[in-house]
Amino acid sequence: MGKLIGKIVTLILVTFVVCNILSMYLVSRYREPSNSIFWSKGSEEGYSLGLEAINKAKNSGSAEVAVIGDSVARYIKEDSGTINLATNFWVSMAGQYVLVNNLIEHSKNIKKVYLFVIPESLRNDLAGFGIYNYFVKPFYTYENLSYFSSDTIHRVRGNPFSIFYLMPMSKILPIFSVSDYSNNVRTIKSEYVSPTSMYYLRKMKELCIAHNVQFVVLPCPISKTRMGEYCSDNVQSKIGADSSKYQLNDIIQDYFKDPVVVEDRYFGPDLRHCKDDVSILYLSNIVYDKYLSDHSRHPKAQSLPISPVTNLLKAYAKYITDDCTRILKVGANIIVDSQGDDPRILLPYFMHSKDVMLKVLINSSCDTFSQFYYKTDGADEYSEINSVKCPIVKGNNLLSIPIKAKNTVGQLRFDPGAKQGKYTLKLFEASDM
Amino acid sequence: MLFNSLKYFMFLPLVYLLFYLVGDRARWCVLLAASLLFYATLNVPYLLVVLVLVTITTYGFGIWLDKADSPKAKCILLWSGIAANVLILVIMKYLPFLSENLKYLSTLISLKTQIQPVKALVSIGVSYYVLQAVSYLSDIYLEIEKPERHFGSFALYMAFFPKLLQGPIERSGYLLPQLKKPYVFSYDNMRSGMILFAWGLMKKVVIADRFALMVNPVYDNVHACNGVQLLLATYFFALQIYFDFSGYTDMALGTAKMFNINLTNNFNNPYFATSIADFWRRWHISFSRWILDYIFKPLQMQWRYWKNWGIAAALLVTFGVSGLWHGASWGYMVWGVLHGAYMAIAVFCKPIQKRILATLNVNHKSVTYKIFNIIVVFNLVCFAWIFFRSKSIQDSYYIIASIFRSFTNANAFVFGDFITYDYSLIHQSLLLCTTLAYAITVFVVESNGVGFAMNKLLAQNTLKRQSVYMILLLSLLFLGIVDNTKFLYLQY
Repeated sequence: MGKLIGKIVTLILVTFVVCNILSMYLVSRYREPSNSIFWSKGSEEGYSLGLEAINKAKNSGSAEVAVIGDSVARYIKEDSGTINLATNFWVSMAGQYVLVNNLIEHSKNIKKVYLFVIPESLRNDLAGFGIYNYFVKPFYTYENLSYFSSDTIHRVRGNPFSIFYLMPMSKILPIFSVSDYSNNVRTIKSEYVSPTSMYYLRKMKELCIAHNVQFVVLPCPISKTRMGEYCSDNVQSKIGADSSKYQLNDIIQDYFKDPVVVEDRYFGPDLRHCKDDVSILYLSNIVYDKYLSDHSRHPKAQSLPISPVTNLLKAYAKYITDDCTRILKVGANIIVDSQGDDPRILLPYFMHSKDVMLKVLINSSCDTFSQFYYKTDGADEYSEINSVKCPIVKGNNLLSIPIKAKNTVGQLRFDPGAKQGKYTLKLFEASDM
Repeated sequence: MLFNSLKYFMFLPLVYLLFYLVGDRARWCVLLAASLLFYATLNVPYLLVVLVLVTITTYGFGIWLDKADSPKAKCILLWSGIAANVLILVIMKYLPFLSENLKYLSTLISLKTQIQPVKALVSIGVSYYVLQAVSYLSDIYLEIEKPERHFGSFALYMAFFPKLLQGPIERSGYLLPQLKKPYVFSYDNMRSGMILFAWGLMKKVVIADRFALMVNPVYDNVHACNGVQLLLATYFFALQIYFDFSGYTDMALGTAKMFNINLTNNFNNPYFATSIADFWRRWHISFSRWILDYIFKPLQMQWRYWKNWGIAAALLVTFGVSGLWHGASWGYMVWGVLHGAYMAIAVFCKPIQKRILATLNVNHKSVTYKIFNIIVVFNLVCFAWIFFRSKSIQDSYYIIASIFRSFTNANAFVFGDFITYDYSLIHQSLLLCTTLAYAITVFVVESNGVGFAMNKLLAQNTLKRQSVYMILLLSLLFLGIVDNTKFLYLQY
């Protein structure tokens, strides 16, 4: 029996050493941002998500504005002046603090940091099953230990497997995923904002002030249903009360002051994340218009060159459609194939403060009507009032539609029809009026 | 707790330590207490009550059977004992199914009384030890075995934790003597038990659970998948269920071996079977022997005057019951009857098959012919698995139709579509290749049986052996899926 126990112990020790050596190699591969084999979705997403954000924070280039926060903030589009480091709820404020530190340390250009989080993120007290994969694996390293409070380290070390957490094998072996913090939950009696969030929000604010960086905490656009839930749970007053009580007034006092509330249809089943590409763009534009308006706007990347006549057919690759609609190029024509009865296309931005005449030669597979939507200043959504509707018949239709630029902001939305079918665009031009 | 959980890795050494330290007289107490604790950790209190009820009932009926004087009294006691156990099983497992179908029938015939469907109860392990109880009573009736007088030993026979949740279904004559034998520490048994356990764990968490990643997204959403995806998912499911169940069996056998107890090996390379009958001699062996001895043979004897029709009828009933035992749904029933139909058709076709082979001058012992049979049998088994795995009969029909339709559509196959798990294509390909490589390795290693492979390994020098152990451990640590995945056969 003694011989057997001795052999088992020896095997375990050797395996331990080999595991760590192999893991060290794999961790170094994970940290390579271009390594597509490792940077995949699925169970490794937590790790690669955090590592990608840290890498980006260290290489923010000339960006002046940084967006950090939850997964709901990941749809906010980047452009030349804005960098998006949004991760996930489970990263917690401790992980966000690490990102801000890396950002400020490695960039001289950053002027503003926006933290976009759902209210629930403020409650995150480093407890729950996602904490290991999304926080401990990417952020809890020797490099970052100095950023964490003794309370945070104590909470991490409270887990039975924590002695391995700084070793390479804990970043790689799936077996460590079974560790969770569910037994480590602190019962917060009355506060909405968790002690962990309170501490790191304060730290982020102080760090930003020390480096002349503005730090703003905001909610992303919220669905109507979720807003109703927050209202009935008195979330706004709870956050306000915590902010007064724990001297966070300068940080989250105005968090819920003027949230953007949007129709549920733009969100997926959880009513938090965007449903499709059209929704992503739409909500991203709202965030830019409302909060980042003094910075370069997303559609700039998609705007077409100025010309007396703009051929919109050539820019078909930049059309953004809903889930049920496909765009196909056949010869010189563009076919819009819609499986749903409400095909929608967001056109690339091309309005340059001029009145334009849109000329469309459209072949429809059925009798229906085409509609162009535009948004005016202050409008959050497209509406029937700000639209031009043209009935079309089965076969070829030539449409001439004037759009007044002074009232128009953002991108035009084009609904080729109101029925399932194929719509062939043979001519699609915008010319000065 | 399950074999592939961290709790079990702490539970087993503690139980063994206690077992080792106490004397022979108390060892059955340690194992029995451990078995009951093992069952209790499932957190379903009434399961323990059911186990105790089945144990007491079977023990009592066993003693009375032995004491009964007349054949009539014996017969009554036997059927009463069997009925009592089967009634427990029906209540635990089949009431929801029966109530749903009665409700459907009542709506068909426009009955005024509303039949409310009954909520399903957790019945983990019940199917297995009820069959064990029935075989115990039958063996006493047939005077093959004597009843066990020591209640503790009998209770341990029923509840022995390595085989409690998913079998093997052990005969009393095979297991009871081993449980009562004095224990002498055996280095070889301990070592081979641990290796077998690790081997089984590897089959489960590295191979079966990875195939599950490829099967579940397809079978859970069949209408969103094309025929090629459904076909591949079916083949992957065949591999998943084999590695899952045989992995569990190896873990059970390995655990028992550490206590110097040999359980029945349930698998013998079933996918290399050359006929359906051969398949059932290799798949879930303890169960197929049970249905052969206690259902098929009595029925065949009863209907022997119908000759081939009698055999066919006995096969259909036997495998219909087998399907129903696996689960309370029409899908399982169809799966079982399909296997019965395969065997029944084989009975009638045997003379025709011999004539065809003779006419074509085919040597039935040739390797080519064997390979052909293996491929045919594997596909027949996979066809039946469709009904086994699908959520409903309608889904099964849809899958079959899609598979056959896809062969008429030249554009059906898109390489990147065949796995729907949310990984990049290169990662999906790596996942599939790794899993297939492991699966092929297991098939090669086990081609002459696990025992043979074990002996060969233990005959190697220390360096080679330690290298194999290291590779096994590293595979478990780096590739094992560890999110508390259940065993497939746990639900039956």
